[in-house]
Amino acid sequence: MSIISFFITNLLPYFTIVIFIGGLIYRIQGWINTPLPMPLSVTYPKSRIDQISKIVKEILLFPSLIKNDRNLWIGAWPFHAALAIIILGHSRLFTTIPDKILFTIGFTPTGIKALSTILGGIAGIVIMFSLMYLLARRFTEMTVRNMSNPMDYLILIWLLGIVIAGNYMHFYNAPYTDIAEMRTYLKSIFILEPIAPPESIVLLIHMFLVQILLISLPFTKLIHPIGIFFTQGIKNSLVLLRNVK
Amino acid sequence: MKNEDENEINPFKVSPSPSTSTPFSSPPEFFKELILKTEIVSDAEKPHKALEAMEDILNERQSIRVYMDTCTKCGACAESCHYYLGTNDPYNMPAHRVDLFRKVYKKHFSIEGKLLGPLVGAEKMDSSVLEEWYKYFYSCSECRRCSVFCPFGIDTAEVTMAAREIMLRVGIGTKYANEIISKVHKIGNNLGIPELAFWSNIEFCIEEIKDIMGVSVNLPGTKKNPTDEIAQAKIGAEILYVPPSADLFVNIDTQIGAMLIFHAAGADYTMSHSASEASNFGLFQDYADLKAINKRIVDEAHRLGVKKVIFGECGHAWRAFKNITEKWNGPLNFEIEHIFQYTERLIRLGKINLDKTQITQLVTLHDPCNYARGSDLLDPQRYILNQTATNFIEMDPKKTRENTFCCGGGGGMLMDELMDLRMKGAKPRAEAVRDVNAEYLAAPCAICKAQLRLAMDHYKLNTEVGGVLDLVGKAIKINKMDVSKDISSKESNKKTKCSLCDKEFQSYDECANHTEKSHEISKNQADMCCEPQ
Repeated sequence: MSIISFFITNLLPYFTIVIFIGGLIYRIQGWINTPLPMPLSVTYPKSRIDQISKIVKEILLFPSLIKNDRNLWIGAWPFHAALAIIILGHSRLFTTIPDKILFTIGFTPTGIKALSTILGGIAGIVIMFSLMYLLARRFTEMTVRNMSNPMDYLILIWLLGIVIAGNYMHFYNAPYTDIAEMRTYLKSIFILEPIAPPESIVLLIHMFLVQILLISLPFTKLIHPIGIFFTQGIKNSLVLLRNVK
Repeated sequence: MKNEDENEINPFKVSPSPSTSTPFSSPPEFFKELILKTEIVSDAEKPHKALEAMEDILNERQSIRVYMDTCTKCGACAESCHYYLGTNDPYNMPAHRVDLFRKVYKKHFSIEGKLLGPLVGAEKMDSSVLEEWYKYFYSCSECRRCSVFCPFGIDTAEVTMAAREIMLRVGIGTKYANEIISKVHKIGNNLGIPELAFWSNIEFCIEEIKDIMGVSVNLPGTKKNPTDEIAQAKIGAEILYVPPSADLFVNIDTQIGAMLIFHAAGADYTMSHSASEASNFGLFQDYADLKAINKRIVDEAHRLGVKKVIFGECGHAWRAFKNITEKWNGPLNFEIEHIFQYTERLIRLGKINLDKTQITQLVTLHDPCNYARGSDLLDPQRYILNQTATNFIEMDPKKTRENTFCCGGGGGMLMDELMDLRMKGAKPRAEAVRDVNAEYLAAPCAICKAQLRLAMDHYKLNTEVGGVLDLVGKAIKINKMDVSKDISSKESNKKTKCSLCDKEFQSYDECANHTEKSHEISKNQADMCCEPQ
């Protein structure tokens, strides 16, 4: 194992975990500790069910974007949907619970493998093209370009790098096919006896990029999926919900 | 003539261009009147002091912190802002406007900005930043339309309020807003109407009603001597009516409409010079004055012992009053209601009767942003208009209700020196009015009325601008009742029946006493239900 590989796969993960979780706590604690003197509601709930369905819909389908900026929705929704699928798929590397659930509903090991190849493959392609679309949009749409700074592009390029490396492994490369080897490696990290992961330069790049992204997540605009619960759109609706007669 | 018309430039076709106007700055004496603690410091010290104020704000308002961290600059808000649509100035895109604040936040208050600097767009607070702030946070009418378009609901208006408060604390403010706030604190209302003028304007309304409709309505106050020029608010009245002071000055018809509604309902209401201003400019710029101005009304309502405070046609006034009164200046011994909610109920109960045929103009409704996106007041005025006008039409649904376009003059922007920007910002609203060819634009907000009258002229639209209550005042059926009252008073010794409960009385007066007690209908309205047999 080279020194670079050792750093990325056996050392950096500990930094990543500490900074990621510590950063999230720091950020969310910072929000919670600040008072909210004035209600920020823009729209008022008509009933509990109405409001809950509104919140769930907003999280699942981004209806405000469908309504107001369809060009953005075309890129943003597929991106987030594919990301959700990919995160679920990757959870199989850390835990066998998803597999067990699939077994109980009647999947065979070959079935699971096929599902992950097809669904993961589609998600990988969709996320790649939606990222390219979002990047192109940021470059070409003058309104967005005007207010972008280098980081806004960099995050998209970074994600694209992660996705391309991931897709390469998914479609051409070995470690993917041997999920057991990845599981053993990840387990070794968590029991603090790190071993080397499957040997692959692409995997190394993938892992490096992902970890840097996770480290930066609490401190950059990538925090937005948590912020949404605090902005008036959703959080305040929840507060108001309690006041609905 | 015809050629001239053709040569005339169509104001709708003028292409958008940035506005260079900035507000006149406030002279120091107005700062002294603010409740907010301000410190007029030298230009060199300003950035440093502003940072201190910014830190305070960030520790006081969760919303600002979350907004700073959450925006992804996706651009969904870009074309929601009327000022952006009218000027094409990139800094008028909501996310970009907020970024003027965010770049300083990043530089001085975030790990990201401290480590990566220009890569994430972080920028040091200095005097040029404050100049940009002064221009662009006074190019925002705090209408919140962008927050409807934002997938996270980030509210630029909140950030604008915060930025304005930071600037005020180091002695940067507008003459317009500061002058108005000092007038409220010193005299009691935005327009600086003294007590004598306040009561004589109300009496003027009473005379107008007498002249036009032949109805005598009561003075919403008491006089020790009938010859007194100044009246007092009625202690123990049931309702305190608080209009925007402009209703007593320029929008007289709105005030007349409100008085006729109270008269028709036989309400026991009063008005007070100490609560002669619904409007609260504190909302536009700082919380300290917002709270203090709100408290005036609360204190006066408690002093008078009213059961209910009703607010008149003013958008931000209602937003501020509805949202903060209980939380900031509570507990309250009275209920709060908007005149539209009150009127809607009266119409539904049949206490007010309207003659639709009086209003045949094509009427459309402008939703003031603060009703639509700040206080959930959308349906009562529609119900009222449907009952009042034969020809009520809605504008494009993309431009009404919570998607409503600002008039272009709200949020403390109604300054003459910003006329260029105001007219550019009014374009989307004017277009929507043009598209429905409305003859009457009901704009139930004093600021909207002032702004839209100018905008209609600017865009060469032949549309009259007024309130909702103006129309109610014209359509309300009182004349007829007065006539019947004359007849009934002649017949006052005849047997009379109360139509509400079918009880019979020996005289009209007895019946009137009964209706007052049992049905809460005042004596002079008793003819509504006392029918001579």
